[in-house]
Amino acid sequence: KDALPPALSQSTTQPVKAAEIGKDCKACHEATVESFALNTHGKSAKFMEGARSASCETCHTNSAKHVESGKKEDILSPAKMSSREINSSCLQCHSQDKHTFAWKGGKHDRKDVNCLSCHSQHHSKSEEKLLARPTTEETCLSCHTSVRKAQFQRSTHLFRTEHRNMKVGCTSCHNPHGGDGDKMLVDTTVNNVCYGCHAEKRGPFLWDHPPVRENCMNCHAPHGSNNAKLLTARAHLSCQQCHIHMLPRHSTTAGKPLDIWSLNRGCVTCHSQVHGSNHPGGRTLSR
Amino acid sequence: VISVLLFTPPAWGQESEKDKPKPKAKTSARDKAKQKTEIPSAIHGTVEIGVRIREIQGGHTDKFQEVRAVPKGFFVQKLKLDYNSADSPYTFSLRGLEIREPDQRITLDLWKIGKYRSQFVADQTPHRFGTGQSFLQQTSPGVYQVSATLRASLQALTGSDLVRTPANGALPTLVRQELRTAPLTQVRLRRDQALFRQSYQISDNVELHGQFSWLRNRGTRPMSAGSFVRRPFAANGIADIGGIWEGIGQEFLEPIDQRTYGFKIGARFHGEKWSAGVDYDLSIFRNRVESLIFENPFRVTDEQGCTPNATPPPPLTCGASNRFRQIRWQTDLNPNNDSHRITFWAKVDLTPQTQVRGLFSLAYWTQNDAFLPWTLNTAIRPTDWHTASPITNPRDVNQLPALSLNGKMRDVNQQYALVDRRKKFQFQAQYRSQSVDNQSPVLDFPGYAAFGDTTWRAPVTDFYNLPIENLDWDFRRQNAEAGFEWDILPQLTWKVDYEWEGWNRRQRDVNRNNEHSIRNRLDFEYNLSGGKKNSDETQEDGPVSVTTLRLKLDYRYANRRAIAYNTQPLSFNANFPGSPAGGPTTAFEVLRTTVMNRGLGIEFNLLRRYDEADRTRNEGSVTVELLKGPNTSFSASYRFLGDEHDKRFYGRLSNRFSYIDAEFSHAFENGSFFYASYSREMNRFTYRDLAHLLPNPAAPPGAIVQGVLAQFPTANTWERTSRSSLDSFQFGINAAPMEGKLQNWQFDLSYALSFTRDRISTVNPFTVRADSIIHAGVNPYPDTVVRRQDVNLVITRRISEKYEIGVRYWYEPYTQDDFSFNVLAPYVHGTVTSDAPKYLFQDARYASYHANVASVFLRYTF
Repeated sequence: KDALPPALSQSTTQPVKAAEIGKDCKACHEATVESFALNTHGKSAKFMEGARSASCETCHTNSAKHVESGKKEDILSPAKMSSREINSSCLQCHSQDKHTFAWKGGKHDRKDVNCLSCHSQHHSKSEEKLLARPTTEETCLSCHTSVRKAQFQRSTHLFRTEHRNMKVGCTSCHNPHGGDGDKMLVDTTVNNVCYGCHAEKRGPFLWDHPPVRENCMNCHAPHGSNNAKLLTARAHLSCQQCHIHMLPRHSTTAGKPLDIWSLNRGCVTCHSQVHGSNHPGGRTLSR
Repeated sequence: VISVLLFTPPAWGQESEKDKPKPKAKTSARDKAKQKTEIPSAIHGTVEIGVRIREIQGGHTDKFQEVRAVPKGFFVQKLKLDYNSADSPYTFSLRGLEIREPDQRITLDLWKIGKYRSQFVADQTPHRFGTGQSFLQQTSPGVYQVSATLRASLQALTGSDLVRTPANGALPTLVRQELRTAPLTQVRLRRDQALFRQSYQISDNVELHGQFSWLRNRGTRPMSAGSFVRRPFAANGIADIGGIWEGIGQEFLEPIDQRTYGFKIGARFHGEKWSAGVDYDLSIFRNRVESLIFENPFRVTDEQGCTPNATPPPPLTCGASNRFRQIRWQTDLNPNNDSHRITFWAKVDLTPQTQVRGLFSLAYWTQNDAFLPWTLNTAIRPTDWHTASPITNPRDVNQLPALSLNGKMRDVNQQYALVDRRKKFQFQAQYRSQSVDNQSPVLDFPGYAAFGDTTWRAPVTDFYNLPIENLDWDFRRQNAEAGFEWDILPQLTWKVDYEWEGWNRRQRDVNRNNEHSIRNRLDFEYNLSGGKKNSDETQEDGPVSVTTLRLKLDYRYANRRAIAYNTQPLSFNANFPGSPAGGPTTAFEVLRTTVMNRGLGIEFNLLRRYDEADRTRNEGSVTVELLKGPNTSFSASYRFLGDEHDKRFYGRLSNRFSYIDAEFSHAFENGSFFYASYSREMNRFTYRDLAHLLPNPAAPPGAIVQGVLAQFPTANTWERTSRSSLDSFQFGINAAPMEGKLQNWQFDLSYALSFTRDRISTVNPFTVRADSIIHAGVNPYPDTVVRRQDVNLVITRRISEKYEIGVRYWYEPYTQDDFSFNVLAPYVHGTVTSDAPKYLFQDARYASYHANVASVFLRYTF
């Protein structure tokens, strides 16, 4: 205690609840009870009051009979419950959180994903959030296998450092417990999520580009892409799907591999302000 | 030293096998460590340091470190310090990753359970684009200049050269010579961000929280301007667009020095059956380099282009010639902007089975940066292009219709849901809407300087008399969903969903469209082991081997219809002159009498934009999972998404996506783990396009409007298909023997392959017109191939209770063959086709490489 920062040293002198966590359980489940006492739930049993205090009984009901008989079938364990029962058990406390605002009826809930699909109370492998796998990304990608490939695509948001740490992880954009928007996004819309890191695209601009304003995903694939800049299609192929310009200077051409429409950034080579321009002469998003 | 540590058994206090008393059970260092950690301890930590060597082979190799840093030499990979005691309500955690490297991350978390929590994150991410070379040098933030001597020399050469410049002519020779001695510049950005979050529990029912975030993006990235050095050359005619092109644009380094500040405060309230909250967000974006000025390498004197009001009238080829004849050009960079948002949310559990909830969010985005002048070109005179132009000095910002936009946009988001869940049934209904209202004033511009600031474009000359105005378009997107779920059998669940999505748009092609979709899902789970469940596993009895089969079927049909697709009123011509024999003779034309619709895009009337137009979508998937006990699993899935658009029109015709994957994983009894997965993704999209005539031969000679009276002959139709595939394969094995000679060793091997091929094919359904071969005639595209492999081997050995040592080898070969980026020489001239001969590229790009990285590390855990 002496080695601790003052705030922490002081904390240990505060009175704590006298109740010993898992007193009856410890005889048979010693390691589990000891590790439980160190995690968030175990601590809540000791340092929080009322309904927010989670003891063994909170999840494992009917424990008295189990203690008496020693039979595993006499105690209720979340691992033996249905998804709905597991979720109901956890939501007793966690339904009050903002991040579970849209859990009920949400994508994961409707696909029978339950809390224990991702979290493990007693066998957590992560450093935080009691995840059943070492990282958030591994947790998500174990089911969302089609996104896993994005890690190695030509352009990707799921890039990793040398030591496999992900900078922009799944939860940077998604809230696995519900979210405020479609696709379990952390914000209300795709664009609002993107503006979180790319506020320069928010404007408003003198010359806006309507599809850009409506949905960044009209042109970009946020997880990963075979094209540069997370584009859903090569730059000039992307533009030509919507533009057959009537100004003959920009006749939409079938094109050649090395013509000005195809080289480098394609159309964006000249129309560099494709997300919007604030220049009085920027009507064509070129300055 | 490393070899000794790795391959000699007793080291650093580890107990030798032969030193152990025989009766005593073998105890590995890992076991000791495990025993140690089982005793509750307050402070734990990990430090991992090492030394790294790195070799990268290839030309433009920056892709390897595009968004990460792998420096040579000493590194601190991980620093971790935790305080956690069962006797204390406090938890403290400090994490550091990739310390002192450009991609480092530090997090700090202090938590008093049930009372408050403080979190801090600092993160850096590099972004490398490659090495650029240019004689444009930044002399002050956002100002790029070229030696006046060089500019004078190049102007002299362009002025006297009246024929197409040969590849080795005086002009390109001088440009190349200067570029050889131009300094090389690392083109890169660095994103630094920090975040502090604080929550405080006032009482059991009230929590306050706040957050401050800061993000800084600094450096440079490639940017370009499509300005031209072009002079009239009458003999060239339409076969070569007209004129002599000495330059069609140049790249330079966009200076980035941006900051985004975020503030958020909020409160959460809750009772036994309800919770609610309110949040206020303020986001401030500031750009310290608000504009960019660069000099024209080919000019020392300002000049304007070939003016249409000259006497005598200019020749036909003069219309767009003499471009890019100004000394300086200025572009606006991202303007400063602010966002204010307030969000209310609430949910109530009406009964244990029924919940209603709602969220309302109101945001305003504002922007009021001062406008830049139309041009810096001192020679340009708008009246030379449009005699009635009211603009006398386009360099004077006071002649703009406003000095700034005073832009304002309102974003309202709402979400309401009702969920009811019974024992075997579930029902939910949800409504969601986003409404973006552009409240910025509409400004009517009398014209603007374009094409390298050498021409003046006005409504009458270039835009069919349509005003040059910023449209106050806005939109509202609404979604209403209803879903029903029924557990028909304990093993079988049926889910059905209906969704309606409606868009209301203003000032776009489609004012309103509706999409209805219905989705059916069947989830089936069958226990092949008869009754037992994997969850019957207990800590004491060990795992119960149960085989489970899961099957999921999902199908969705959606149909989107536009109420009306608004188009410009082009005229139909059934017998368009000059049509090739045997082909279609029809065309749509803009006539001199055509009155265009204000507020609509100036586009071909048969174009249908895929994000607004009619669409039929079929989407489905099949997933099979086989779980054998808790240790073995196999899964395979197939997914399909097909969009079909109206084939009678132009634009996107179809988009088909399919995906198949298979995965196997197995955890061995000794703790080792193996996995392998393969996936193939295929995407094919097709669209129809058309090359209109250039220039319009039907317009009267000398008329300025001739250049915009577009004609769209059906014969010039072309279609393009892009078929891209992505094969991905990964496998890995992690072996950590629990006993035997290797019980202190851990082996981790992984391999990943990502292989992409993009095939583009373009066809002409008809014989194209003889005067449009360059633009309408199709050409073969080479395949684009990108292949990345990643081999990673880590061998770790525990040498004592607290120390581990390891080696890591990482091999990453990357192949990129993409015609769009393969030939970006700093001055492309004469080496490729005539349409792209003279672009001043930076040559900052990515190409193939092979990277080898080896490191040795020491991990200390306490």
